[in-house]
Amino acid sequence: MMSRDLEKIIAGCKKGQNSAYSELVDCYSQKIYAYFYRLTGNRDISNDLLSELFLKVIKNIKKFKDGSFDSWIYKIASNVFHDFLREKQKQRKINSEYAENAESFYLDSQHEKADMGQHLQNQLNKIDAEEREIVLLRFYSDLSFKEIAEIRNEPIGTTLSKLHRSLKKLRSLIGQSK
Amino acid sequence: MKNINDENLKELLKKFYDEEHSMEFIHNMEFAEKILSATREPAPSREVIENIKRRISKGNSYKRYWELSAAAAILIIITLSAVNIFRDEPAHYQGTITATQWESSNFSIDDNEFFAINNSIEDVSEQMLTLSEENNNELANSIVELETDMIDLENNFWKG
Repeated sequence: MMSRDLEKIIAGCKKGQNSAYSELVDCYSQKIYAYFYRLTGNRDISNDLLSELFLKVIKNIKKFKDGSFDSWIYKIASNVFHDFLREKQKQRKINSEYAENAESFYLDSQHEKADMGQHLQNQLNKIDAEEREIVLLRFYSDLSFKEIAEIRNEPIGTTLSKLHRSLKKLRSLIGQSK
Repeated sequence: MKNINDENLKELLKKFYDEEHSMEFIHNMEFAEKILSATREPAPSREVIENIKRRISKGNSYKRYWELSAAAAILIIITLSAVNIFRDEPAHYQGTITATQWESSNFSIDDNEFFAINNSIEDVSEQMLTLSEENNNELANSIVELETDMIDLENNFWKG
């Protein structure tokens, strides 16, 4: 269910109003940036992904008909992240120096260990990207498990089982590091 | 723990896990939620947000510019076509077939032009046919004459 305000913003965006675009960015940039940052652990990459996301959202806003806008926007966010991962993998194949460091895009984040959030980030980085994404989709979006499963094109049982596994892993990693 | 969209998590988990695993799942979720909410939320800088807005606004301006240009171009084409249609009165052509005899209803404004072209084609076709027949008769006569000459020549040759 969408709030009246959000409905107005989306209607404005469909009409091409710059003020509506601006409001949409204000509404979602914080939450989605956090989602990207926890996924990649890198501020610059998160900034780029956030820009790309909004450009795609604005380009496709007329295709959004009804249903949950959060679900729609997080589906695009998830696609943007997966495109980024694919691109990264391609680059790694081309450049062998990346091969040994599978999580090379986390490098800059590891210099900020004093930050407590960074500590969590480091543990998040240790679980695989797919599992990490489910955890973050659950905690940064307001999506139900059914919606998350739809975004990921998988049965709800699969989503639950992946989340269960990654939560156990995360808890154990945080427990070990204390 | 968040209760998202009135989702009954316990009921949902019961479908997939036994009591013990359901409870473990819920505890782990509460733990993750606690940890994530306790840490400072990473936020984009004001500069990044403004940059995104600028890019969107710029893209939107370009889009509008092209949309307006396309609309203006279409309008100009329509106006020019309309002016041409109403300015040129249909010419009156003399043809062997009159417009009323034409059965097709697909042509309206261009009927006369179409008849004129059609009639011209038929006129040329008839002329070609006449010419061809005349030519054929002349040719046939020439061949008969040539054959007679050849027979005469042959007879005279053997006669010496």
